[in-house]
Order: sequence, then C-alpha cells, then structure tokens
Amino acid sequence: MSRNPENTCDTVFSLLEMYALGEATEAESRSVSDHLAGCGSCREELESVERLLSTARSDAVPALSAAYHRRKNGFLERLRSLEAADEESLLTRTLLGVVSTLTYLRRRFRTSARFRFLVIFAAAQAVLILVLTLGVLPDKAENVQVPDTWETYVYEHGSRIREDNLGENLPRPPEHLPRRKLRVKPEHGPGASDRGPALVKDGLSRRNRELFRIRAYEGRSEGNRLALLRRFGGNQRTEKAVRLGLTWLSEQQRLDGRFALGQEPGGRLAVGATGLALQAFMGHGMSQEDHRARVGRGIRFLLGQQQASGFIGPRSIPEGESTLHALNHALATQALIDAAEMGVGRVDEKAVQKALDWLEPGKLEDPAVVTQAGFVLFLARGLGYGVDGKAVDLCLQWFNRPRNRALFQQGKASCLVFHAGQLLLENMAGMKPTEAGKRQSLDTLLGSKPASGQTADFLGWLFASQALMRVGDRATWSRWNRALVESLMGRQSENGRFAGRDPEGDPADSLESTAFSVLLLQVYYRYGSF
Amino acid sequence: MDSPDEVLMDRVKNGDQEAFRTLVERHESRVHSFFYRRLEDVGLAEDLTLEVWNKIYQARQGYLPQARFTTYLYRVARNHWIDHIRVHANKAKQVLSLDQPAGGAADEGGARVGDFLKAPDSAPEARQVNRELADKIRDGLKRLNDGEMNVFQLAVYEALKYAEIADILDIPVGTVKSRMHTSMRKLRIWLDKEGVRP
Repeated sequence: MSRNPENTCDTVFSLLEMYALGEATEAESRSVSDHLAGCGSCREELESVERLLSTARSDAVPALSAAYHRRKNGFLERLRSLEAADEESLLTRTLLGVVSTLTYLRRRFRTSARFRFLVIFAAAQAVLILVLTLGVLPDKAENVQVPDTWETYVYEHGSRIREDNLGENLPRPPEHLPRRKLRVKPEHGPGASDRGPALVKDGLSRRNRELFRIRAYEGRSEGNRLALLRRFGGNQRTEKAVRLGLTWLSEQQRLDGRFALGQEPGGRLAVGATGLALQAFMGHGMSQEDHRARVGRGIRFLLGQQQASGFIGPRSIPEGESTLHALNHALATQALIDAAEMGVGRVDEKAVQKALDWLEPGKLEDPAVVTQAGFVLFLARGLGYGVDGKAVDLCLQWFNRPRNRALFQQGKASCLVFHAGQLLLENMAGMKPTEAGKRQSLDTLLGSKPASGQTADFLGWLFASQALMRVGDRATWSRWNRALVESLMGRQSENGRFAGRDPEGDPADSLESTAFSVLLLQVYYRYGSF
Repeated sequence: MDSPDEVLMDRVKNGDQEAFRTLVERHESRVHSFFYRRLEDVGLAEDLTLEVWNKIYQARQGYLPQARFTTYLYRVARNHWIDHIRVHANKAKQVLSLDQPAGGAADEGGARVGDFLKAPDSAPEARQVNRELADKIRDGLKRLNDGEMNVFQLAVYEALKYAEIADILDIPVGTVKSRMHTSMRKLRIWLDKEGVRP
C-alpha cells in the first residue's frame, strides 16, 4: 500500500479508463495494479468504469437496411459504368492520336512509296479497330451516361428528404428534368409491326433494369415518399389515413398469413385479398419491423397456394369463376414481385417466373384482368423477369379489338376500367395518344370520377389514378385527385376501416375496400415514376 | 486469405472495381456506426455512409498508404461529419452541451447544465437494467462536445488505440487522453445525476 493513500487514489482514478482500455503504459499499469490490490474503493471504481465501457460497447447499432444495400449496389454499378466511359474516351483518344500521327507522317513523307504502303496498312488497321469498336460502342455508350433524369435525382438524393420536415423546406425534383421513355417501334410507317406496337428491345440492359427498379420502388422510402406526396397532391391527411388503414388491415391477418374477414372461408377470395393487403403494406415502405414480419407471413401463405402450373389459387377453379381467380392470381403475383424486389419474405424468383408464365393475356376476357395482368407483365419485364414482348403486346391489342371497344364504350358497365386500363398500358408501352384521343379518354375518366355516396369502383379508380398521374395535365389530375381523396376519406371509420363498394352494403367487403383504398392513397409514391 | 485494406486501395487506384466493393462491404458498418452514434437516424446515417464512400472513391488517386486504411477512412468520415454539421448548423446548435447554458444565458439567470448536475440527487431509484444504462449513456453522450464525443466514440465503440485516434483527429495523444478522461468524468456525473450507477 502507498504511503500517501489519498494522492495515490487520485492518481489511480485519473488512470482508470486508460487502464481499462489497455492504454496505460507498463509502469502505469503496474502502479494501478499495486494500488488496486490494497484499495477496495478504487477496485469498485474500476469495476464501475469497466461496466460503463462494456455497456456502451454492447449498445448495438441497427443493421444497414435493405434500401441502403440497394442504393449501394446502384452506386457501385454507376462507378463501374463511369470507369467504362473513361476506357472509351481513352480508346477515342488513341484513335485520334493515330489519325493525327498519320496525317503528320503523310505531310512529312508525301512522296515515299514505302510510306504509302504504311498508310494503307495503318488505315486498314484503323478501319478494323473502328469496325470492331463501333459494334460495341453504341451499347457501351448506353451504359456510360447516367442521364440527368428525375429518377436519377431521386436516386442521388436518396432519403435525404426527411419526414421530420413534414411539409416544409422540401427539395423538389426539378420540373425540367426529362422522364425516360421506353422506345417503341412506330405504329405506322417504316418499322411498324403488323402485330401492333412492339418494344424494340426484348430485354433492358442491366443498368436500365437498375434504373427501372429505382424508379419503381425508391418512392416508397420515407424521404422520397414525402417529395412525391407533395409533387402529386398527397398530404399529411392522406398519409394518416394510410397508416390507420394499415393498422386495421394488420388486425385482419390470420395465423397462417392470409388476410380474411369474418366468416369468409378464405379459399375463394383469400389469395386476392392477401395480395392486395400485402401490396398495401409494402407500398408504405418497410420501415416498420412488424410490417416486415407480417408481409413475410403473407408471402409464405401465397407461395403455399401456388400450384405446380404456377397458378396461385385453388387446385380446381369452379365454373364461372375463372375471371375472378385470374384477377386474384395477378394481384398475388404483383405482391410476390414487390416482395422479391424489396427483399421481404423469401421469394424464390422461380416462383415469380412461374406465376408470370401462367398469365396468358390471350385467354383473358375482362378489362380489369387484362389491365392488371398487363401491369404486372410490364413491371416484371422492366425488372428483368422473362416476359415475352408478345404477351405485353397482346394486352395492348385486346383493347383495340372492335368487339371489346363496342362492349365497353362510354356509358356501359366497366367503361372506366376499360378506358383507364387502355390509357395506362399504352402509356407504359411508351405509346403517345393523339391529342384528340387523349382528350376523349381523359374526359371519359373524369366523367366517372369518384363521388361521395356512390358505389365504388376501386379497381377502375386505381387504374385511372395511375393513368392520369402519367398522362393527365396538372389540372386534370388535380380534379381527379381531389374527388378521389374526398370520396375515400368519407368512407374511412375511426378504426381505419374503409367502407365497402356500397357504403350501405355488406361489411365483409371491407377488407378488399380498405386494401384498395390504402393503395389508392399510396398512388403518389407506390411505384414512384415507373 | 483476405487482402489487406491498403493493398485493396492500391488496386482501387488502378481501377479495380471489385476491390472497391470489397472495401466498402468490409467497412460500411463501421462508417454507418460512426454516423448513427451521432445522429440516431438510420436513414441519414446511411446517406452519409454512401457519401463517404463516394468521397473515398473520388479521392482514390490521392490516397497514400502511410497509415492504416481505417485511419484514413475515419478521417474522411470525421471531415464529412464536420461538413454536414456546418451545413446543418441550426440542427447542430440544438445539441445540448454540458458547457452550454440551458434555459437562457447564465448571466440572465439561466443555469448551466453542469449546475443541474451538482443539484441534490432527485433521480428515480437506481435500476440495474443494462438497457436503461445503455439508454442513459446514449443520452449522456449527446451532452459531450464534439471533440470529446469523437474521442469517446473512436476509443470505446471502435476500439481504436489512442495513437490512432490522435492520428485521425489530428491532435496530440495527450489531448486524446485528457478528452477521454473528461468525457468519462462527465458521463459518470450524468449517470450519477440520473440515479444510474454503472
């Protein structure tokens, strides 16, 4: 023990954290150890310091999110593309160097026969290199420049647009930034196809697929959601309604993962209802851990319902219900795609591919099913699944059949779904309607805009909202959006449930109506600018 | 065997994208942790993490393997953090410091946070739940100044040596020691005030 214990305790106290962290020198460590052997209070102090340090170290940081990993992969991919650009410019510089050297030599040795041979030889080499490189350059060039588009802006800004700034000081994506369009062959004239508009490229490049994925899903992140809400007319009220709706929906999930209400046996409608509800949860991003678990269970249920043929639903389809089950299948497939892209649940891409293969647009006969199937096929194709361009074309052609046009002309049943579906799919295919045709479609949709108290046409509203967001001018979209929001808000109860198609009708419709209403109120951001 | 960071960085300078990916994946959680401990905001911490990697890539040709790569990495992260709080100065001002007045200027009758710490112990009963202690430590860390926080974080969470911390923060080792000692003292006073005994 020291002869001057007070001073020694002070000295030791000043060394304790260094001692605990292993930063004390050998002499200091020895001195502290000697003192601790005979001083109980300093031992207690040391234990206290060690507990503080170990508790601080054990305080874990949340794992990096799936969204981070996706953005990181995009960032690394972009660096790779830029590197490729540098290589190309090096190649170009080399070629220019060769040409200028040849020019110089030609001037210098104008009369030499040997030089003429050399020039011809060098020129042949240069032509060969050019031919070889030109074959590669256009494709590469496509991968080189990251276009300054709105989606790149969203990508660059990531989730920097914070929700805590709700409604204030939000950076808006610059309005002038162009939108990327899928290239299509002209409908008429040179290059036109006799089977209607066809996408030029059967598969998008890896980089374009990544951009497509960013466009389709980045809007759901907390930060981007807010920017898109502002851009398209959502607000705190609609978001609150979404959250309430999701809370109500979460109470309707069964233990096996399906969403079902009351005594509904579930076999007939469970696949569609579950697909819709899962889309609604994923539409709001997966920031809440309990949502992730909920969606994971739902996805397991859907995969459990998938038959060997790829169809998601019952083994045998009762007569007269094929359209209903096809729609349910398409809704469930969309949920599987969302889950696979958002990294929720364990979705085997083969299962998604099988579900996509089952969709045969040629056999579909209902505008809602054709639109839903077309939407899913377009989405899947953009994301790189194996979707034949013909299948997509068949969906587009269905709307142009004279029989169908007559069946669903203005004023008839399902007219809204028909016109909204056609407008939506044609826009997704990059087809530009004529000004008169566009005006007629918009008028038809606005003529069927939502109104309080009327029977809801949720699917029609959903397709129309998606179409008008893309095609309509600001004024048209505002009119539609105002009517839609007012109508939906009037249907929501305090517990978050939205009334069914007919407000006075069967309350068992509420599951479907709530899921649809949530999806409608997420329309501003759910698929971003895809 | 995994290549050392410095070798990978050398390959990055020569345009090896895979080497850069390996580096990012090897150290991204460290960088994220560095920012998250300061912000407690996962999204923003992730944004800053990506920005740091972007900076490192852009400045790859200037990297000299004179120190460990992690030293370089933390230095870039720290500088990026300084840039961030400069841009968001208003937000940074909201961070309470033990030495800053609370409830108005001291000479206007406002008390310093340190004064509260000296007040009689009115804290709730001490509870020996690890979670609570961790929460209190986190609260206490917010009351350290930036220099102390940097040292505490690098020494405790990242388990770096004092010499390395000195290198990262560009300060003498003696300053690292004194800052660490001060931060520990402040934390313990804070915990005492809160009625939590480690």
